[in-house]
Amino acid sequence: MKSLEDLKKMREEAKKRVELREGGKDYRVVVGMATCGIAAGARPVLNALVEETARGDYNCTITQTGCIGMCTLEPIVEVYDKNGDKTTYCHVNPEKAVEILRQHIKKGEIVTQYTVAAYQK
Amino acid sequence: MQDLAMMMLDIANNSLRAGAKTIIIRLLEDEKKDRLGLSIEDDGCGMDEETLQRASDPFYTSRTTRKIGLGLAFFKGLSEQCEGNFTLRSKPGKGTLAAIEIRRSHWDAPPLGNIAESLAALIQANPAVNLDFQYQKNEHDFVFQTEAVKQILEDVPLNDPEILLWLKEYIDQQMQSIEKEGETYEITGRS
Ligand SMILES: Nc1ncnc2c1ncn2[C@@H]1O[C@H](COP(=O)(O)OP(=O)(O)OP(=O)(O)O)[C@@H](O)[C@H]1O
Ligand SMILES: [Mg+2]
Repeated sequence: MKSLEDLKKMREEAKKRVELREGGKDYRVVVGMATCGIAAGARPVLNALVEETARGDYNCTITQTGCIGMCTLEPIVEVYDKNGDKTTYCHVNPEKAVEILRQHIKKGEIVTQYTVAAYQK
Repeated sequence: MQDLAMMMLDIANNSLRAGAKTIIIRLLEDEKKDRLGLSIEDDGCGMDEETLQRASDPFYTSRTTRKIGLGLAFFKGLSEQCEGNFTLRSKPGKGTLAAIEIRRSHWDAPPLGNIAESLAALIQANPAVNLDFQYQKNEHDFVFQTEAVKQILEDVPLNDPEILLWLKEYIDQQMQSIEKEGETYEITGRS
């Protein structure tokens, strides 16, 4: 069983890691976390994003926002690149979230089939 | 909303939006009294009397992206479904308390759900906020305060993904052990 004592041991390593990761990130990944998002399953999506970024080195930050205004398309994940251009993904689940990280953030390729634009066609 | 953990996250998100510096969450299970309580208290911007009156009305929201606000309406609705009561108190500039107490064994009473994941999501949303969480089941309790964690971590941010995952697993283990101990107590308590 974990105890807060163990956290002390993690601290030094975490410090180094945080220093390495310092500096601007190229991408910002934003999860909609209003009631509409949470009820549709945004929390496991956020969790999957956090887990995947803990495992691999991704050039992005994960943040949360409120209602994006397209409640029927939740869970929604927005990806902003360093120019501020936005890609909106809808009906995201944990598996899709990981795919978005691996393809969009790692390789710079938009996962076209999960975007709102593709959905609304 | 499928479970209490999701509601807890949703109501506490109101507190974050209200600019709270501290959020106090209490989750209480009492098998003898057959009660289940959840309260979320914050020191955010609070609401004036008029807003407070309308806050749990689904057709009221301060959001601009839509015309309905469902969080508090769901929370209140659950208490009505489960022979419980709903409390909403607020003072402008002071803070807000939202709480429910329901019959634990009620047919419609939701499961606790993944409390650890909801707390991790709250920490992730704003690691600067002090979260003070207490889960009590019968005679046993578990307290989790981000202030204590911050003291241990010094300048390492709580939303570092690896730290966050560790915290989630830690909370999960503690919750599970209390849930079990709580049951043990219940058995010995009867004999
Ligand atoms: N803790 C709080 N502090 C200050 N104001 C609050 C708080 N909780 C709720 N409110 C006010 O009550 C309104 C209704 O809250 P409710 O959670 O029901 O809906 P919402 O947050 O607006 O939208 P939703 O929850 O559906 O995403 C909010 O828009 C806000 O103005
Ligand atoms: Mg809300």
